[in-house]
Amino acid sequence: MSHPKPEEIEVSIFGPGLGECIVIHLGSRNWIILDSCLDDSKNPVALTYLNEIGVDLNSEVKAIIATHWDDDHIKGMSQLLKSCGAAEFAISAALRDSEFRAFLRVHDNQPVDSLDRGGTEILKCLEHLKDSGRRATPVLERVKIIDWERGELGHGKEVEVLALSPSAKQFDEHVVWLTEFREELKRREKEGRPRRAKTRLVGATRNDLSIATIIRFEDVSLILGADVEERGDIEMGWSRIVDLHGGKERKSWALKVPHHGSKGAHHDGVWSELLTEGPISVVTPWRRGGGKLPTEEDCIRLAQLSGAAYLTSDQTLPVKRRYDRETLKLIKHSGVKVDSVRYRCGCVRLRFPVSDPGSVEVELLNTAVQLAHSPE
Amino acid sequence: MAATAKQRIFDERYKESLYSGERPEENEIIEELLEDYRDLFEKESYLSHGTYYVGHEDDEYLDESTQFVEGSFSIDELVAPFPKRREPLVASNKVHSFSPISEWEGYVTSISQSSFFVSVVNIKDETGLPDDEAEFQLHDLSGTERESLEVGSVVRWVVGFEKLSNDMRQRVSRVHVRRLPAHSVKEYEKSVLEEERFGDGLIWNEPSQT
Repeated sequence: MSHPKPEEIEVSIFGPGLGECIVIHLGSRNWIILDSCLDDSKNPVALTYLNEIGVDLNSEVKAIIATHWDDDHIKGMSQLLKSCGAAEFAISAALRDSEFRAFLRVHDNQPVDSLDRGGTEILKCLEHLKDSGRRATPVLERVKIIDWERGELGHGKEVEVLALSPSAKQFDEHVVWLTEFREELKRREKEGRPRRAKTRLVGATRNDLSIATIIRFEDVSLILGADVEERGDIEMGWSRIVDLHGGKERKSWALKVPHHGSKGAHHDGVWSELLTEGPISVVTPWRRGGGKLPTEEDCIRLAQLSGAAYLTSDQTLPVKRRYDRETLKLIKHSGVKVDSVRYRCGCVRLRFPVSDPGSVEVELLNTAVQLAHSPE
Repeated sequence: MAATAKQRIFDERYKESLYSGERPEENEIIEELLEDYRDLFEKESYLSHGTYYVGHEDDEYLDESTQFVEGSFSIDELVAPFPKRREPLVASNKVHSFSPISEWEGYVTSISQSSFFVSVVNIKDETGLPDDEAEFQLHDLSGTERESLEVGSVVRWVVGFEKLSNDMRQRVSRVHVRRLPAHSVKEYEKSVLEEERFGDGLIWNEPSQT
């Protein structure tokens, strides 16, 4: 694989089922990375890819954005951060709050060694920042994460990476939720009720603090939706983003579909107010709790709304190829139903000259497919 | 080292509850492990997930109301409540040995009326990344485990062979909900103080909003 030309933009979206990572060339060997996930060999996919195309990780990766700290967006992030020594690190402003870090820390502090506890990786990143003296940018909506002046990059355009979320109300809700957690602990102890077990952090309110971004090359832009969902409140989620940006700027021509294409992350206004007609959309798969995303219905909706819609992977790594015969027999005998939740790591890669996004070259790497129907 | 000590205590508790159905108050192995555990944390002046501070009164970040406890505490004071199982699952005199072949740890992602889903990680996988999702029937759990089951509960699943005293060998699958440490206000508040100090070492850019 070759490095893109200095004037060329490249957006590579990786998605192996339990993970998502976006690697972007903004021009003249300047790269940014959003989120982190592991490839089939369980190494951070961004590192594997950038090494393959000859990127100097230490000097050419300019920013790393952790959109939120869900398992499928954060695996390998601390390794990424250490490898890309010059990159600015952008994270949710919530992590500036000592009480929230304490919340993650007490959950992390338990005798379960084989599992991470939901906040383990982001805490590792913070520890690295402290030890290395590197700076971090706390992100809320409308925060400029990184930018280049006109003429600085090979294509000559001004470049800006701007946060679309989380909103102030979502941040405030998070603070209230955290306070309630602490008060509940106090109430239980005061009333002599059984104390809460330190369960593993699963989801909770993390998607509400997710950082969606828009990348602008003056008149050309694209939206990366992270896991932002719709809350049906004008001050939160996609309603807030559409209200803030809809009709006020040129529309974007590509979308990384939010939250694996789920219905809960869909907002008509995104497609009518923020995106051009027939945009390119890319969605990453996800499985949990017996369910999977995108559903067949989601795939049809995305295919209908997009000029072209792509899924980063449609093939799981089958259980029977990962365990020996003895173990497979024991699983079968146990009557426990085991499904693989790991897809093979695929990638949708878009390359285009910033002056002519219409001539975009779309490459489907490994198990990526164009969406016309259900992925399975 | 701390994690290993904690893990060993819980593993011993796990075995006890599994094979005998109840845990005697005075168990030599547990007591020995707890002794090591106490020594370990006395050195660190802080019992990381417990209710008690076993430390020095001149710790600058503890306030005056902090209770210092010297001496013993039992594992029940460290972990979340979990009713004792009354009936043994396995008649222990019949099982000669158990050879695990594969073992997973996982967390509960959803619970339905008759089953629950667990994202499982093979314990040999160092990445801690769940590769599989296992659906267990609720009746696979004991009554007390069912009562304590919630989303986020940590589950241990083992498959292997059991050798019986009559020399028969049989395939077995065991799933158990792990007893987890409990949250405590003191630990939480201490952690907030520690994070305030930790935060002093973090350097934040002043964000520019458009």
